[in-house]
Amino acid sequence: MIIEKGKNKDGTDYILIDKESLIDTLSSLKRDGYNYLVLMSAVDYKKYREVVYHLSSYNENKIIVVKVRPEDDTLPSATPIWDSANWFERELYDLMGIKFTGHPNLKRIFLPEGWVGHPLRKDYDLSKEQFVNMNDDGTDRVSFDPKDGW
Amino acid sequence: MEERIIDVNFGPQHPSTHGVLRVKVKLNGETIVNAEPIIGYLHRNAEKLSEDKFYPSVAIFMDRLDYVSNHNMELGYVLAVEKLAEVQVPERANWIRMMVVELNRIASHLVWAGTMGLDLGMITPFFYTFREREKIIQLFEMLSGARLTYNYISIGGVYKDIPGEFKDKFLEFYNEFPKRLDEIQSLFMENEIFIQRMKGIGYLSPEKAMSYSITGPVLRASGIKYDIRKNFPYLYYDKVDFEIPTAKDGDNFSRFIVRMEEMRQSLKIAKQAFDKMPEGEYFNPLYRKQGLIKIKGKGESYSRTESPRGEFGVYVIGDGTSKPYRVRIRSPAFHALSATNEMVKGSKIADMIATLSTLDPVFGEVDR
Amino acid sequence: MNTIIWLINFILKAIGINFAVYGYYGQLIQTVLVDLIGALLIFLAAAITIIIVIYIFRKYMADLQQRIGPNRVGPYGIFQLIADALKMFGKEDIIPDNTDPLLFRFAPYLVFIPLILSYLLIPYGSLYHWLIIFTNVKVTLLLVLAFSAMVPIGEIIAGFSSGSKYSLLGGIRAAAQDLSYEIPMVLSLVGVIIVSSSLNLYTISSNTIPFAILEPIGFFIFFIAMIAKIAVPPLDLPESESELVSGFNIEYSGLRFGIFYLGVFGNIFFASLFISTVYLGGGSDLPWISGLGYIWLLIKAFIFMFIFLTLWIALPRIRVDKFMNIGWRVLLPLSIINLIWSVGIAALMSGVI
Repeated sequence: MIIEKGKNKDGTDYILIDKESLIDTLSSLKRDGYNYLVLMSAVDYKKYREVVYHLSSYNENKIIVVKVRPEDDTLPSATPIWDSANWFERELYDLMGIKFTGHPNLKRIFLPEGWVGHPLRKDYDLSKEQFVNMNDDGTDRVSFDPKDGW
Repeated sequence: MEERIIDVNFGPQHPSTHGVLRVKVKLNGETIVNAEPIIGYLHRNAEKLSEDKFYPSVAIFMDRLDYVSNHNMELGYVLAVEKLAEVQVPERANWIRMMVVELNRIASHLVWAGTMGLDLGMITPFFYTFREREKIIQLFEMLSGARLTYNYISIGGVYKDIPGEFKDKFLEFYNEFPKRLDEIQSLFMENEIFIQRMKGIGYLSPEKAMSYSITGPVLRASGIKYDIRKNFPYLYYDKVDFEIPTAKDGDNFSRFIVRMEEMRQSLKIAKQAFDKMPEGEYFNPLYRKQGLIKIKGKGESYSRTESPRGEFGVYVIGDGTSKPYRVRIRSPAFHALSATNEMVKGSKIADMIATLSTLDPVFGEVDR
Repeated sequence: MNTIIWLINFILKAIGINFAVYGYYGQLIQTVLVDLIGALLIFLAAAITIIIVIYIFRKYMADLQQRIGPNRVGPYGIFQLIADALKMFGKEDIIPDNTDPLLFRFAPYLVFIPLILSYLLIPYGSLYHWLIIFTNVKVTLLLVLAFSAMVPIGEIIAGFSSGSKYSLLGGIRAAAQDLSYEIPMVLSLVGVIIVSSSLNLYTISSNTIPFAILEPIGFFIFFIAMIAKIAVPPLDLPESESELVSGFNIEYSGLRFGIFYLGVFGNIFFASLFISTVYLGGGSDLPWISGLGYIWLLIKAFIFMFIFLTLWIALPRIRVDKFMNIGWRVLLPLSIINLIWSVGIAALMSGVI
C-alpha cells in the first residue's frame, strides 16, 4: 500500500509504502523491469527509522526509490528476490540495528560479534571506547575496559 | 576413501587478498567445498564520520575509500552534493573532472593488472604496470600537488586550473601509452600458462551477476552491456565518443580482456575531454570563499558514477544545515565480493586466488 | 691420483704438517685430515657459489624488471648478500608451539646437506692438467639421484612438522610434485645409462656425442623435471607464495629460513651443473678446447641457470593438478618412448643391428 509519492531533490521518484506490502511491492517492481537492486540504506530520523531501496534496471534507463518505515526495527528480508540483499541486510543490521526476518545468515558484517550498539544510529554513544580481543577459540570478545586495549 | 574436510582461513594477513580480506575456506584436499568471505577488517565507518563534518570536508573521507582511484570516489560524492545544494559548476571544471577521472581509471586498472600478475606468480608485469601508473600519478601531482589522496574535485569545480606544463606531459603520455599497454597485454596474453589459469575459471552467469547487483567490468565480462556512463550519462559522457567493451564468457579471462580494453577507451575519453575543454572558470566563484559553510541543502539526492570497479553511488540526505544528515555509500566491489562463493565453489585453491584477483576488490571501499 | 687431494697434501707438507711419517696410524690421520679439509673447501665453494648465484639472480631480475637491484652495500651492491646473511644469523629462531620440535629443527638440514653433498659428486672436468673431481666412485649418478631424492623429503617433513595448515598443504604439494617428476626423471636417466653403459658421471660426461643430441626426448623430460626439482616458478607449487603464503617453510625464521632460501638457489645451480654434465658433456675431447673442460662446464651451467631464472621471472605458476597431469600423462609415456629409443641407439652403437 503506497502511503506517499513524490520526487527527491535529484529528480527521482519515490514511494513510501507500509511494511506489510514491502515484499509484494519489491517483487512486482522486479517483474516490471526494475531488476537491479542498486542500494539499500537505512536512515535514522530519531523519531522513526527509514529503510530506502534504490531500484534500477540493467536494460532500461529508469530508477525508483522505495521507502519503508519499520516501527519495531524489523522488516521481511528481500534475500529471495535479490541475492545482493543478503549482504545489504547484514550491513544494515550491523550498523543500524534493523532486523530482517527470514534472512539466512543475519550476522554482523563489519563489526565483530558482540559489539555493543549500532553505530549509525543517532543515539549511539561515541564517547565510550570499545576494545576488541580474540578468545582462545577464535571468537571476538568486546569490552569497555581500557586495560583490554592495545 | 575417507574424505577429510579442513578449514583454512585465507587472510586477513595473506599476500594475495589485496588488503585485509579473510576467506573462510572449507577444503577437501585442494578442492574448495565452500568459501565464505569475511570483511570488516578495514572498517572505519566513513558514513558515520561524515555526519560530523561540513559538506566539503567529507570529500577527504571519499579519497580514502578506494585508494587507487580517488578521483572517482570524490566525483561520486561531489556530484551528489551539487545536486542536493544546487551548486552550479563551470563547464571547464566538468571537462577537467572527466579527464582526471578517466586517467584515474587507467591508473586503477594498471594497479589491478600488476597485482593480478603477482597473484598468479608473475612478478615482472607488476613493475611494467607501475611504471605507467607512475606517469599518471605525476600528472595528478601536477594538478593537485598530491600523489595519492588528491582532494582535487571539490564542490563547485576543481581545486586548481590545469598548469601550463601539463599539456606536453599529457600528450606525451597519450602518445606513449597505447604502445606500453600493448606491451603489458602481450606479457599476459602470449603466455600459455596465464591463459590456462584464466580461461573457464571463476564463471559467473549473467543472471547471478544481476541478482548479486554486480556492476562494472565484472558484469560486462558476463555479457551485459551496462555502464552508467552510457545508461545514465553524467558530466558530459553523452558528448564524447567511446565504446563499452563486453565479453561473453563470464570467466576470469573475460574480465581481464574487458579491463584491458577499458583502459584504451578511457584514454580516448581523456583525450577528447582534454581537447574539448573550453577556456574559462574552473571553480564557481560563489563558493570560493567560506565555501565550507555556504553549502547547504535539504532533501535527498543519489549520484551514480562509474568507478573502475562498477557503480559507485553516494546517497546524501541534508537537513538544511551545512553538515550532511546522512551519507550512504554504495561500494561496487562489496557486491562483487559477495558472489565469491558462486564463482569459486568446486574449484582449486589456486583458482580462488585467480578469481579473487580479477574481482579487483579494494578494501578501503569494501569495508568503508 | 686426484689432483685436489694431491694439492692439499702438498700444501700441508709444505707448511710442515705431515703425520704420514709416524707409521700406519699417522697415515690414517693424514688421510682423514686431507679429506676433512677437502670437504670444508667444497662446502665453502658451494656456499660462495650459492651467494654468487643469488647476487646474479637479483641483478638479473632487477634488470628485466627495470629496477636497479642491490646497489648500496659495496661496489654494485656485491656485499648485499653478505649483509643479508649476517642479518639472518642475528634473527631470533622462532619455534612455534604447534610444531614437532625435533623434526622441525631437523628438516632444513635434510634439505641442505644432501644438496652440498651432491656438489661433491659432479665431475667438474679438467683445467689444464688438473682434473677437478672430488669423488669418482663407480656409481656417482645413483648417488646424485639418492641425494636429490632426499631434498623433497626434507620439505615434506618441514611441512608436516610445522603444525600450520598452509605448510601442511605445501608439504602435500611437495610430495605430489615429487612423485610426478621423479619417475620420468629417473626413467630418462636410465636411457642415458643404457647408452653409455655406465653409472659414473665422468664416463657419461666424456661420451663423444652429447646426450642432448642422442636423446632429445630424454633431454626434454629431464629439463622439465629439473624445473620441478628446483621448485621455482612456474613449478614452485610447494612454496607458491600467493596461494599458500610460503608453503612448507612458512613457520621458519632466522637461520633455518636462510638455509631453505640458500637451498633454493643451491638447487638451481646444482640442477644446471647436473643437466650440463649428463646431457651436454663430451666437448673436452675436441682438440682446440682440450684442457678447458671446467670452463666449458661452467659456461653451460650458467646458460641453464639463466634459462631457469628467466622462467622464474617471466612465467606465472601452473596449477597443481595441471602439473600432475603433465607429469603422469605426458612425461611418463614420453620417458618410456625414450627408453625404447635409447635401447635402439645402444644397439646401433654397439653394432648389434
